[in-house]
Amino acid sequence: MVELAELISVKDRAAIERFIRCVKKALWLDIFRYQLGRGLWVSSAILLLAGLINLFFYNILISSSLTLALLPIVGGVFVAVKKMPTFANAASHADNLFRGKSLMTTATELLYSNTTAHRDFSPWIIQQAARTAQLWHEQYKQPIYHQQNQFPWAAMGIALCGFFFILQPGVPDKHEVTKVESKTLTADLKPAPVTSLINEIRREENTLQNEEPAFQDELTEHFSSADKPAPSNADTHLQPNKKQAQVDGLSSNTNKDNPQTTMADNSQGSEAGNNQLQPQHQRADAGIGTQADTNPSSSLHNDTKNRDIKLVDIELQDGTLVSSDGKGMPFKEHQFTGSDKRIKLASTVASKNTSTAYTTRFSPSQQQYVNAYFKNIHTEK
Amino acid sequence: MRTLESLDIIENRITTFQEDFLKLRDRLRNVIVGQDDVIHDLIIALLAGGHILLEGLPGLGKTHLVKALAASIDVSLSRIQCTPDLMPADITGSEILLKANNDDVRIDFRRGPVFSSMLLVDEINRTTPKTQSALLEAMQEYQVTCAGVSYHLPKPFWVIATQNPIELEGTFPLPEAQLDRFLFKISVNYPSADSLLRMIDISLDDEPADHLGTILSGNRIMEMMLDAKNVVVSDTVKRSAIALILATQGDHDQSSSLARQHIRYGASPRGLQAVIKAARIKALADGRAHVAIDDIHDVALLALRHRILLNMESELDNISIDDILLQIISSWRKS
Repeated sequence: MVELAELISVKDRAAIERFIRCVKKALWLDIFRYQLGRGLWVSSAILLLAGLINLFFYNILISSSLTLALLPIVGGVFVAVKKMPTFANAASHADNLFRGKSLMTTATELLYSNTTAHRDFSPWIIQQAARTAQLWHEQYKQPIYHQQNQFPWAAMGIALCGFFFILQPGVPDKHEVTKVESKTLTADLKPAPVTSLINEIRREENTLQNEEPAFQDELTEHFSSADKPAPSNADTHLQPNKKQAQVDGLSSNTNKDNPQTTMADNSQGSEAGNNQLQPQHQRADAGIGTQADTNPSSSLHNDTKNRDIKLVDIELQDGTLVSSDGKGMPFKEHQFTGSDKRIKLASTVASKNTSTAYTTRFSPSQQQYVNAYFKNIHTEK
Repeated sequence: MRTLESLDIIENRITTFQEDFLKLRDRLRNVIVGQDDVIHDLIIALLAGGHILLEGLPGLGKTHLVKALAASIDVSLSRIQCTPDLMPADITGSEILLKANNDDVRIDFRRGPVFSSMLLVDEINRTTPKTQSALLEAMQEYQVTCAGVSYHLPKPFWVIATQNPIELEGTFPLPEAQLDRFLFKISVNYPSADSLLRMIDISLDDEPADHLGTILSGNRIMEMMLDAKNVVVSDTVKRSAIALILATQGDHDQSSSLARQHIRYGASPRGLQAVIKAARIKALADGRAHVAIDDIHDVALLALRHRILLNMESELDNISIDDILLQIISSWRKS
């Protein structure tokens, strides 16, 4: 039997293929629009819901809301891609649309599928299909043969409305306070205004400058050495004598996970760490930071142990309100390095423009606090 | 150029088929008034090479229609009037002793009425199952076996049987195996008032079927039957037809709920073949060289109604097979 391909003309084949491709494209666009519209409706519902929750119940993060709202749209697009029609689907659709009595289906299967057996009448079917395809192709351009899927403007409106609600400031004081911070805030802690902090800093600065010149010299000397290239153990200059600290009953830096351990971590599992969270008059002899306990100026601790820094909230440069942890620092309790004199050390060093070496050992949040702290000092000066 | 010539020849064959089909149909419509659909279905089954069971009340022109058909296509017609005492040999023929002139005696096979192209079996349900089963071999294998010798039947060969649906006393309903061998079961209904009026004018004093001339030869009928084999049935249409057959089966995954509820035995694979064969003729009669799902839809009831058995509950409730089948076909078409 002569092969079907030898009996049909290229022109006929091309005409059928062109028409089927056109139908296939239109069909897929319809599916895409439908899936996209459906996804948009779901997304708008999510955004509206998130907006209402933001307004009345709980502050919603914009990024998470948008991510969640995008999921149905992405899912719709994914489904549309997966449902991309085949040639057979397009041919069947064309037959249904033009009442073609399975002409295009049969012709397509004869051309592109091996399942339909070729008969003597097959070339004639291809020829008829090609003629019909040309005719239908012209008719198919008319809009009556296409689904009039309107873009879901209403869904877009609802989505924008929901997005607007999310942008609104919702229930106050929700996401500024993290969970950890909110735990550390006790009921009797009331944030002091910035001015009170500034006054406090000024007062302490004056006290330090007037009463402790020797102490400042020591500090200057000490932190100047800190500006030099650090030895292999970066913490060495701040904990020169671990053994002595252990002898004194103090735990040294044992937490290797925290690079800022010169200022922290002696609280983990140590008595000293626990003590530092107590009022200062109760932990006068306990020792706090390893440096304070081990550096040459052990009198420094005695000089400053009675100094107290009040609980403050401080507004940072970016407008964030940082709450203290109850000990004058915005750190978590276990991060608290030990003593009020750290603050004083920092301020003193800052006054001598040597704060960089010191503050780089803070964690980002700690450093932010200290930067603001110094900034306020300089502003006052 | 050979392609273009081939296409012209094909087109000519299809056009001629369609013209001949319409010519035969119109001829019969002029003779048998008020049974247009029956005539159309009868010709489809005839060209599909299938046997036909005409079911209708007496006096509706069934026998007359078959006679007119045989006269129009110039094929030999035999008629058997079935009675309870009809024997198989009366249909197939039997061996008889013949005495020659020289006193030699020999056994010769005398052919029965089955040896004709068209066999009209009138009131087939009046004869016994034994005699009915004598037709089985002839209908399926187109041969008759007598005393161990097989005799081939002429080609083409059709059995057109009639039966009366209301008379139960003294009748022997056809067994399922016998029914399955009929391609179509065509119900002949009462004609309309206009048809009756016209019938009075045409056939009150004369039988027009007796004077019909041939318009298509037997060979032409054979050519038309061969043309039908070149009709393309796409895979989609085949699958659709299979889905319909499976929908009629009560114990299948793809069964329809109606079939599960009412049908004891669904359509057989032979029913599927019957549907496809008839759909090919329907397509050619419409001037198409391919079968459409619409063709399957149009012939499904005719090809399947006698292949389905209702369950006991549905029979007791006097539920019609046609009603159930029409609902199944309708739901299949929508899906």
